[in-house]
Amino acid sequence: MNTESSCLDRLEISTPWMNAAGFLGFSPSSPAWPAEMGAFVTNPISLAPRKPALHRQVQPYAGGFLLHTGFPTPGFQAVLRQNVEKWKKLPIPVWAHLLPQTPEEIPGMIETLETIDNIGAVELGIPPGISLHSALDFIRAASGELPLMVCVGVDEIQSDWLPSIRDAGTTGLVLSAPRGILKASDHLMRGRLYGPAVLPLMLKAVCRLAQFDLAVIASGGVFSLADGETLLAAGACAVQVDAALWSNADL
Amino acid sequence: MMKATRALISEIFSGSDGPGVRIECASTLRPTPGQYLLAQVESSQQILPVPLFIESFENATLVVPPPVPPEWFPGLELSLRGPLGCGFHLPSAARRLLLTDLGNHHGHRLLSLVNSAGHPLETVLLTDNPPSDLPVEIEVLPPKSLGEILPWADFAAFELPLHQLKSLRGLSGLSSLSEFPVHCEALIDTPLICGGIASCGVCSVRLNHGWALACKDGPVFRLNQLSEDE
Repeated sequence: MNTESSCLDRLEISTPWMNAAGFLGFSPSSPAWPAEMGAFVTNPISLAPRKPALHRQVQPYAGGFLLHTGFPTPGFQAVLRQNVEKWKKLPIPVWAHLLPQTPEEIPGMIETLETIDNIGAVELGIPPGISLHSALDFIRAASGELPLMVCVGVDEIQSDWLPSIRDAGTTGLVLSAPRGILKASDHLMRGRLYGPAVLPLMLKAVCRLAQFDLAVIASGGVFSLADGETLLAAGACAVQVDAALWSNADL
Repeated sequence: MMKATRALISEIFSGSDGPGVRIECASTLRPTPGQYLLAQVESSQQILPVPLFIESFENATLVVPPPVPPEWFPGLELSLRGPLGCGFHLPSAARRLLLTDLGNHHGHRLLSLVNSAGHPLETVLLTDNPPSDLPVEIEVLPPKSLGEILPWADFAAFELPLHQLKSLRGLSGLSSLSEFPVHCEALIDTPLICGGIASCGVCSVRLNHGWALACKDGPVFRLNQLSEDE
């Protein structure tokens, strides 16, 4: 199990609390926010602009909600133009969440991020459904001077991936929201699942993966301080809060 | 992050289309027509905040039309954030108001324009499902009357989901949305879940010159800026 201080040192953050990518925008809405967080994680950033999903939707269910947005972004250069000055003024480091389509897109983005003040880490979103071999291509392409956090769905990560991910130069593993399918009127809707129902899945994954020498960051299922503390006690080095930030600003 | 205001549900009333609520809160919390509040019940299992559109004000009380969550009850404490987004721009000189609801809210969200105008308005509501408690001075016509009555209006306010934009254009008889006069504005009925702090994109709206977010750039847009295509 990781001790808290060694975890924070490895991640180069002062507290284990942060937001999940996609839940507070590309910059915080208030310049005063959030001094008590360890880092600010940006919305996913792709190299080229991404349109919203054609059938974007939110679908509540008993354990939370399914969200399908397509992660729209104006593209890497536009995000930098609009946000770099805001990032520099934040009292906490910024983790830039990258959403590449191919490994070839990554090195140029990494080199640019390395020149920007206050970028604390890169969080690399691994496309769903790919093999370990392909995932390692993405990870190696992202190796550079910045700490690298590899972001994989909690429903996709395999234990036997971890030694390879670690040896490829990864600092931390972000376990992100699982994907699911719900029936919505006349069609099946796919998307990411958020809500309290994710917590048991996340806790199980943290318990399973914390034994590896890799900082595990739990990103999902946290809707109270106690939820986050449970994940930390189970071995997570940090926790990322998602939809609770939209409904409970005092969390 | 925007500061939340505490509020109290003082009454559940039975509207023609389900229950609505009256909410007591600080008198400074006054969304303009088309703006919204996000409501959260503290210490509840509610995960996403609920967007509220206000139909009218009664001193320090907000009148919220249906739909509201069925589990809400009198005495329940709410936390309200807002006002959020951009609402309608009703000109002070407007006297003939056209309201058109092609969504599921029976014109309730548009009626706040009548209630907040501050001067008498001659109002026509186009809908197939008018609320039974509609003031008698408001004339109701079917939506197919749109093309005929649009030139009469000083200001036209619409409410509809994005997938109804083509139907709206068809009803108008115009060949494209860009031909709608500048005094036509539409409240887009779409999920409003983050209040603009996330830019998550679930409420994305395609404009003629790019994308906008209903949660902070809308939910009201000039109709001639909207695009039917994605």
